[in-house]
Amino acid sequence: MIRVELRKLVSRPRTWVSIGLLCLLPVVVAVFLAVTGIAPRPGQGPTLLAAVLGNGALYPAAALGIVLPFFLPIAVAVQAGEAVAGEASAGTLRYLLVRPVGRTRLLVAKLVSVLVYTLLAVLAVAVVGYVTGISLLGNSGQLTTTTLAGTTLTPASLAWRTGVMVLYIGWSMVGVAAVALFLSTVTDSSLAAALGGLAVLVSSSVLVALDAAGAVRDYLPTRYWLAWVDLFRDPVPWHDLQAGVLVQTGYVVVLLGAAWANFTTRDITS
Amino acid sequence: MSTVVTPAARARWAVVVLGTAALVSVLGFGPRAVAALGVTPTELEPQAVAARAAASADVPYSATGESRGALALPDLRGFGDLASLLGDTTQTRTWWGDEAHWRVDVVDVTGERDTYGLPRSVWTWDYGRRELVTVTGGATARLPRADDLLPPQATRRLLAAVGPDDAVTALPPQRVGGRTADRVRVSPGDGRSTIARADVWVDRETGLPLRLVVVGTDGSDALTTELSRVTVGRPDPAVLTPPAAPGAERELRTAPDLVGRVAQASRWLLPPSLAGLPVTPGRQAPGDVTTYGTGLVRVAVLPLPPDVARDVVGGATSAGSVVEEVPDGRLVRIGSSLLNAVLATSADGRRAYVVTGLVDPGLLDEAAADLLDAEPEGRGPR
Repeated sequence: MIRVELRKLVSRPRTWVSIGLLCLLPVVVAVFLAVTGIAPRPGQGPTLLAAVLGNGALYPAAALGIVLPFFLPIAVAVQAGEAVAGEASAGTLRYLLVRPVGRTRLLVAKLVSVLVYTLLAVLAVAVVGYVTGISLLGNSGQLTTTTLAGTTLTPASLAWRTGVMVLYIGWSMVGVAAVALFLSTVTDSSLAAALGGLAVLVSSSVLVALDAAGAVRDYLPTRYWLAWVDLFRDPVPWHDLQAGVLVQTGYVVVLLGAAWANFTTRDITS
Repeated sequence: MSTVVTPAARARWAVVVLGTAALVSVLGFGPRAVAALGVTPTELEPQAVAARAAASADVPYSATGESRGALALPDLRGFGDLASLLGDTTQTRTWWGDEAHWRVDVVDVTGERDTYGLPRSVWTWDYGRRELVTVTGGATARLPRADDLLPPQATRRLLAAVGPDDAVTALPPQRVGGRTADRVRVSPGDGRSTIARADVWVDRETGLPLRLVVVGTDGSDALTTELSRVTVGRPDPAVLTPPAAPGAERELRTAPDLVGRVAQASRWLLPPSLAGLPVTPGRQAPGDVTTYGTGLVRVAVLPLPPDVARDVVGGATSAGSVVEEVPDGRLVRIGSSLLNAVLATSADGRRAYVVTGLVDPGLLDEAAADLLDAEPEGRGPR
């Protein structure tokens, strides 16, 4: 079942089109930076973008910083929202379940497919960011890659930090996927499931910025999304990254549990 | 979509609901329940708790911190991040060895600004500007920095100013960030102070101030600053070493900011008393800002060069402050619930002063009137 879902994932053009579009924006930004040589003013623009001129090796992090607030969650929410609701709206869900396939197994297969898509998307942005950064922005030799604290980053140090960043952002997106996947088991409309997932994220982002919501801020799904920036500090403060993983894990466990309880309970009519 | 509710379905939902409830209880209410647990009262008198906090400069620690200021000050050119520092939330990371070996990072999602305290210099690294600045010379007059708002520094400064008329009383101890903290309240004895009270949470184990809340006379929390994730112990020396920062702009200064430069250049001898307040007892070194008063009612006076004064007055009036003509010159008032300031300029424009303090604006007006009325000795600021 998992193999079937993965084959379906990689054989769908829209999988690659959506990942391609995700990668496009960082490439466009890199082209503008390379051509004009104008980086954002200090303290403005996406994180680390001000530091990438002459430091192409930092561009994977900057590229993920560009797509993280909007495009990456949208892509993941659409993919996860479509997982079950898409089959229902296409009228294929009941035929899928006519086969000797348990609902839990089907849900797990859908979940694995969404996880693979999420990891693929994050990795693709990072890899395209690296290739674009090195080829367009290069390493002019004028600037050495440094942490936010001004200490020198060796290639090995930069590599492990970027690797952990990819995993962290990937796990943050799994939280988005869990919301949309749960909604996907509630409604037959994949659009509604995806938009519902995005509505949760927008609401969370609004509350995170609100001082009056301080009592619940640390438990909101987007609270620690930008904690990956801490990987580029020296010394690395791990507490927000750990808290981010814990919070996302909480949402993933609860929402996937709810998705499982709902999907294995409901009557499939479409 | 209809759903047939079977016992198995109920069991599945029960697992999910109970699991969620357990998660919320442990993660959400667990820490609060621990914090709410009663702590044993301290055997120390409040003055002794305050004395431990005042003597905590040599307690080595590492921590994260947050300060929230509610002082609505205008953002004036030349005054750096003062308005945001006292009016917004500032997140910090601190490594403290002693007063001559420390580092405080102000962190946000776009970068960080780090300050390193060394025996004979202070270094600042600004990632956004890619700028490494070294300030030497031991200038004492300067604008407030983020490290001044950390609970230990802010509390030590507050307690150092407490006079015989001010009261230090005990409050029930509490837990702060998992540590037992004794609590004292400082209340000014002079009604002209804009501080209604200041509550200090002092770590019972080390004497390190962990939290400070300053409440203004309007009843609002004007400043709240707190340490969290406190680890007691000397930080790694490598962390306290300023970065190499390859490719960064480098600058060497002898004054940290506008206030430091102006104070160093000032040659005016200020009067021995203002508004009935004598010069604050203690050694005043060249380059210090002169202060008047004792206890928690103190007024600081900084003479300004005419061109700087014009800039400051222009910035303040652009931000909404009103110029008031007085017999010997003009006054521009800048106010918040806690910190007030008056920019006083003589009628001929040759003399200008900033008069500021955590005091009633009327007291600042009196001090400004005395300054404008008196002919100063010595030369004006260069």
